[in-house]
Amino acid sequence: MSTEPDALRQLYTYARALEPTSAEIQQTLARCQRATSRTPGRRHAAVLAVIVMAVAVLVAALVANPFSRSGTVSAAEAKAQAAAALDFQGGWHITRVTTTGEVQPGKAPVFSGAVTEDAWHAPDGRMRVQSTIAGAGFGVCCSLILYAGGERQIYMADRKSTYVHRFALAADLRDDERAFLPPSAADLYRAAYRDGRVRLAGITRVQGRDIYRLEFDWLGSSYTLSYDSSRRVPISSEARTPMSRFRLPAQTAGARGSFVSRVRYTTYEQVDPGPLLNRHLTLPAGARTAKQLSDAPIFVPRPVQGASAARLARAVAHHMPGILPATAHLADASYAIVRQLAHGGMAAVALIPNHGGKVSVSMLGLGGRTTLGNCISIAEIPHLGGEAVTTSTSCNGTSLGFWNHDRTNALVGGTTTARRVDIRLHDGTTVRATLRRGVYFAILPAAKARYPFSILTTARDGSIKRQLGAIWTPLPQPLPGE
Amino acid sequence: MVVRAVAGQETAREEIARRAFRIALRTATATLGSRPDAADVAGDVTADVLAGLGRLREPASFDAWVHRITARRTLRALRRRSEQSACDLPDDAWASAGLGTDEAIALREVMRRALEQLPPRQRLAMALRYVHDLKEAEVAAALGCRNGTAAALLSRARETLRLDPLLADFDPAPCGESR
Repeated sequence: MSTEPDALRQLYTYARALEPTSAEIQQTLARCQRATSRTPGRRHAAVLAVIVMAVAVLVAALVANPFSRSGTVSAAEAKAQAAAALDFQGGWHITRVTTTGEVQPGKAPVFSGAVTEDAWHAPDGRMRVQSTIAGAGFGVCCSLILYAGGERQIYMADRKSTYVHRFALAADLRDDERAFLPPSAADLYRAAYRDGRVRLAGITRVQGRDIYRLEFDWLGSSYTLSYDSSRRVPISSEARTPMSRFRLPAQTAGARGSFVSRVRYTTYEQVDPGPLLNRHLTLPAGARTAKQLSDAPIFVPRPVQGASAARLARAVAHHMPGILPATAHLADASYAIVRQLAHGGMAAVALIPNHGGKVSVSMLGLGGRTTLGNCISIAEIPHLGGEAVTTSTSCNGTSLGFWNHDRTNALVGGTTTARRVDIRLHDGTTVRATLRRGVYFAILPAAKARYPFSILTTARDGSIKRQLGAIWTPLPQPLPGE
Repeated sequence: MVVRAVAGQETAREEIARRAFRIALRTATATLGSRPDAADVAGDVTADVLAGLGRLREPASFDAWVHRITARRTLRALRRRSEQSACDLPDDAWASAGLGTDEAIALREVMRRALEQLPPRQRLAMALRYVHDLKEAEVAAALGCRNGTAAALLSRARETLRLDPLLADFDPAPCGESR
């Protein structure tokens, strides 16, 4: 065989071996985070978070004096109003419309289609969120999620299917529900108030009503709320994050714009428990005849470092077809690193041998990134005895981000040559990673993990290689004062 | 996973993003010859995928759907570049592949020459066929053409490469022969 066919094959071998870097994925997710609030679900977290934000900023506004400036509300009364408004233990109904997009200096903002969300919540924890997406280029779509009776049901009318996930533990359900309604989102705004961050940017009078414009900045983003003090409801809110927030200083060229998310509230009301609320906390009639599909949870024995992770590997392969190569030896998988997390849960990194799929480092050629050939899969078991949540899986040594709702942010990756791995954060501080059996694991401070960082890999010969990394943690974020 | 991603589960969305990005990155690199350009395409593809995930009716056809989006985006990028410079393949792709020796430089020139000779759709068809091991029918689906058209594109590409004196011995396996 001549060298030419080899050459062409080598070209394609190069392409076949390419893996996206962690930074590329996270920057894409960051770019899409607001833009893709079109996709149902993710936006629930973001959208409802901003709703809660609105209430919380209201607290700030009420208590921090601006209301008294209008002469319509005393500080004490404002505090009482705010306390009531922040109490999301009761029933409520909120409808809001979210538009997202980018703003470039000197150019008109570019916004995507609107997402309308209609959310009902009962004091006993039942919640239903219906999303409708409409916009140019992607038509109209909707989804409906109901949490009730220990289950999460996702009804997709266009597929005539209902996906049912039954939780073994109530705590697991609450965690999952928090992905759609993170109670900690309110904490951000309460904390912003406590921290004295909220400022009154202006008061305007519209049709006889005082409208307050309240602002605060946090972790590189700016937040604004328009609040109708007469009707005591938020009118709209805006979150703005500079694109440069997702870059290292050396990368800021071409990233001068901002990601913007605007929310308009069309309904914002407390609803007492009763028939009205119950009627809205059910699936529509069509769901009864829809195909019922089980979305089974993953259960694995309590992870022990060095012990078999075969059940986890098989579950990953089953739940995410194609994510592991056919050459992966699922039965030989083992836990390389197991870490207890601050909230009591566990994070475990499974090392899955992949003898058939090894790729040479030179062919990868991604800035000197090391590679394993083996696969790594991260799982979190938030509550002992509960289900495992598989977060990320990768072969070829790509670093993976890990985060959860308790604000644990970690970086995991594979390396065959390193004797030490350090994570250098944007402010210059360094976190040394645990390195075991070719897998590294580092828990990063939540606030600092929101910025890009460098992964410094020290090889056995002492040479140091650097690559960029980022973990995109949409919610919840660390609070002011933490 | 697609369903969970549609429902908003962050981890599933990240896996979806990673998978889409990987598929697009490989195809675009093999077509455009530049990893940075390919990463731009892959970013666009991933954004399209995340935005349109709710419209994907059959989760099992996720990869095929990503291939279609990638094909469209890559062709657009390739044509845009063609308007600027007919065959301007930057060196970075080859440099990043770790080729540095005289032999590697020669191989690089051969590859540059091979890609230069192929029109956009043939490049893309070859990438889909030889990077992702897609069958002819799958290549056709990704390109949005008939099976016969895809077969013709691949055949012409192989013939072009075969006619090149520097690639005279090139004899890749026929389409669909192996997976």
